[in-house]
Amino acid sequence: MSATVNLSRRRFLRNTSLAAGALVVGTALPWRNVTASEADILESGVLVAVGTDGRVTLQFTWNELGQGAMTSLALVVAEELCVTTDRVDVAVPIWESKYGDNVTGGSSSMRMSWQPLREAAAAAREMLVGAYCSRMSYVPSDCKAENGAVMHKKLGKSIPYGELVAQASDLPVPESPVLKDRADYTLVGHETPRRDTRDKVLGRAVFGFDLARPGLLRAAFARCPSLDGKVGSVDDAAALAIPGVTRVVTLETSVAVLANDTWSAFRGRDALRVEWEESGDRTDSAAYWSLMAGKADDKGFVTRNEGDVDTGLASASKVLEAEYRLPFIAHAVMEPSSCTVHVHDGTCDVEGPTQAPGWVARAVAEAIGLDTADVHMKSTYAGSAFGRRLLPDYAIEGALVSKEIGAPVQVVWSREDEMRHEFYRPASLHRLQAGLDADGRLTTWSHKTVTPSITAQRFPDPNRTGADRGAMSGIDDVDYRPAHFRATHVPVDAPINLGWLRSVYDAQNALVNECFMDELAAAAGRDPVEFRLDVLPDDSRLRRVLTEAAARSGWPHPSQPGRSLGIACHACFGSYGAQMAEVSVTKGRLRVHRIVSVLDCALAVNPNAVRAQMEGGVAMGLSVLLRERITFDRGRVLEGNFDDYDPLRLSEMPEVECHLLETDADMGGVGEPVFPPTAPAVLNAVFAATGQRIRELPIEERLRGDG
Amino acid sequence: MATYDLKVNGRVHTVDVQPDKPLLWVLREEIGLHGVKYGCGIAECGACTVLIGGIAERSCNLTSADVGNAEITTIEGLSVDGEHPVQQAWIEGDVPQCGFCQPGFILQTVSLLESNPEPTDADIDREMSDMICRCGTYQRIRGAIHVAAERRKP
Ligand code: FES
Ligand code: FES
Repeated sequence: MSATVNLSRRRFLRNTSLAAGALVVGTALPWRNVTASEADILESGVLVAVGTDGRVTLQFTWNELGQGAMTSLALVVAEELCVTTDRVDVAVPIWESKYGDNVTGGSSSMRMSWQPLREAAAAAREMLVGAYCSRMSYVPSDCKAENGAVMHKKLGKSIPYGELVAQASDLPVPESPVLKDRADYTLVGHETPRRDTRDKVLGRAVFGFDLARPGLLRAAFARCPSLDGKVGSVDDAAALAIPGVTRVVTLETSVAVLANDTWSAFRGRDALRVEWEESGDRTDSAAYWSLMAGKADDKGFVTRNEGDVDTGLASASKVLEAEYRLPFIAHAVMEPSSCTVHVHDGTCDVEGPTQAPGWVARAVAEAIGLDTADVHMKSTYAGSAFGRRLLPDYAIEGALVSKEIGAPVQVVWSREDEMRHEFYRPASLHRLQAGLDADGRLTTWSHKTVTPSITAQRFPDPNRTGADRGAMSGIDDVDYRPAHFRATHVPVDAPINLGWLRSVYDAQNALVNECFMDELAAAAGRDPVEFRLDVLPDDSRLRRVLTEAAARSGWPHPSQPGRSLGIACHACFGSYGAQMAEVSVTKGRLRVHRIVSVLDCALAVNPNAVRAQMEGGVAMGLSVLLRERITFDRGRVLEGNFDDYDPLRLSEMPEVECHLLETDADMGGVGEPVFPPTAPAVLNAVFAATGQRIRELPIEERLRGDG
Repeated sequence: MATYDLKVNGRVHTVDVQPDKPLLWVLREEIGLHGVKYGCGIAECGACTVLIGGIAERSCNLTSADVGNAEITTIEGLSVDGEHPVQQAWIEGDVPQCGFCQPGFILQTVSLLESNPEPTDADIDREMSDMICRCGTYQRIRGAIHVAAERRKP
């Protein structure tokens, strides 16, 4: 049983917008100590309050990144408390260290809060019913909560929540509140419009760059173009001559130009002349690929080994080998990084978009010598995130400058800054080997990935050795069960900064698995769906989504002549996805007409938001497949803006058909799982259309003109 | 510095700025219209789109002098409270994810429908593809454009 407590009479609910006199129930989040004290629960940041006006407030500390978290979490509370969603307000408090790291990423906001939120809301509901019963001298079993009021099931006399709040606040929290049955849901699982839509459509949503206030200085930075460089010498005369520029602050690894407005700050920065002291061997993309290819001959670290791959290959009727290469890519978030920082009186206030206020606070505290508890972070809307905003670099810069000048500053990144100084998805090189038996069935599978470890670079630890578990996600935990199976990681150093990008390693790994599966099916002369089903256990949820995707897409027949189909499936972040892509290729031009996407995330709290994530996952999957790649020379990223790093455009967006499958299993994520199967499904369809196997991304420049 | 009288959202704003300062930054930081977004600064993404005399333009690519007397409309001035048919279609279709690109796409759509009240999918592809939505809301944008076109019919 989780620690759910009554906090109504606690008067130290500072930093919350909960009205006085409210019934307040708090629940510990699962990663916190479940024997938490009341104070700890207060600090966990998940509170459900019912005010004397009958309105419900949900306080939580996830960040709205465009995934619809606010809407879906409010929906859960409304459902369990039996009120309409318009009676639920969502309050996001200013982050303090007591809330923990509060990372919004890994498709986790709903998965983590689903249980505690329901328990808190159900407890509040039972307390309101209890108050009603004692006032009316009824027994709870004769009464029910409905539409913001409690009533007797037969006599029908109802009292609204607001009038019961005072009495309910004096009741103990029920030991184990009874959660609603899924079959009785009227809100959860139903299409619900997003709460943030209106603000965004009216241009009222406040993002990082929008935190303007009078007198606020903007800070643009010159940063070392390669990893690990330091400032050598600075000539700031030209920068200071730019109107609007007020000051130049030289830090250890960057130089800040402060100005009264953003444009002048950018111009001043561009006018700086900085000599960098660069260290390390600064490599270029071609040399890095050679290094990776050489590393592929290393034994590496085997993380799953079943049967005996060598014997399997030796006894196979047919053996196939292939090598796949996937480049570094950028998040290219829609709004370049920005935040506003004020260091004053031994504290630091940070305001801006983030996925991890706790990480920001810790990093900022360490950078300027404060206690983490003295850093406060207020989140704004994020102009997309995809993992980029897990990193605290832009807040650290702001804190260093604000401390130096004793005034608040707004850190502003140009698009070029964002493209060249962010944290990239690791490149990877994959070696595959597989064996088929005489009947064209898969007996042997070996997947070796050569790729740098994000964890090793971001959290260096000399005692850590071996494979990176993260890098093997989607390689060693796949559902495929051939007799002989081997998964291997060869870690390699990275020449540029690494970060977590939507699905992290799963998108790369899924592409390689699923395209090689398609190669094998073709070599065996078998249907790609049938071929996979051979090696998927009967109870595999992957099997189900794959079969559904085939059934619902008309597989193996394209909807029109001249088109070709490809299929792929993948499981990650607790969910199972399969996709069918329908394409045509004319004179080297790929057109993706249709994607049929099937997702089993167990339960879709708000199918509208889930579909949005599926559509977005498809768009990003295609974008990465077609054109995205980061290249570098002497350690410097070459791409600078959307002219040479060109994400998917509207004209390239296929029609996406979403199908959600329900299961009783634990809830899975929805932000990440649809991204990975997209690219391989399309690439397999490209093969079906042209006979061309492309094993290196991005593919637009590699598509043959004669297709 | 130079002085310009800019007609924005039905009001005249007198601004005193560097002549080469992009209209984007004048609108955002001199006039305080934050619905005009900075995404690239080189007319590649459309986040900074505004209407100038009813036609969608990239404000990062213009200066105050370029605008002259023409009426500028930003998302803030499109309607009082979101009642413009394009905004209505966007709300109904629940189009935005992060929302950052959406003012630009909405204004581009207003401009499109003005010149082409019943755009085909091919027209939409042509008109809406020199902008970027990194969240990939394209399918909903397309749907909302058709809905808005339907709504505007007399
Ligand atoms: S900011 Fe003007 S088009 Fe991108
Ligand atoms: S909604 Fe996020 S960039 Fe378009």
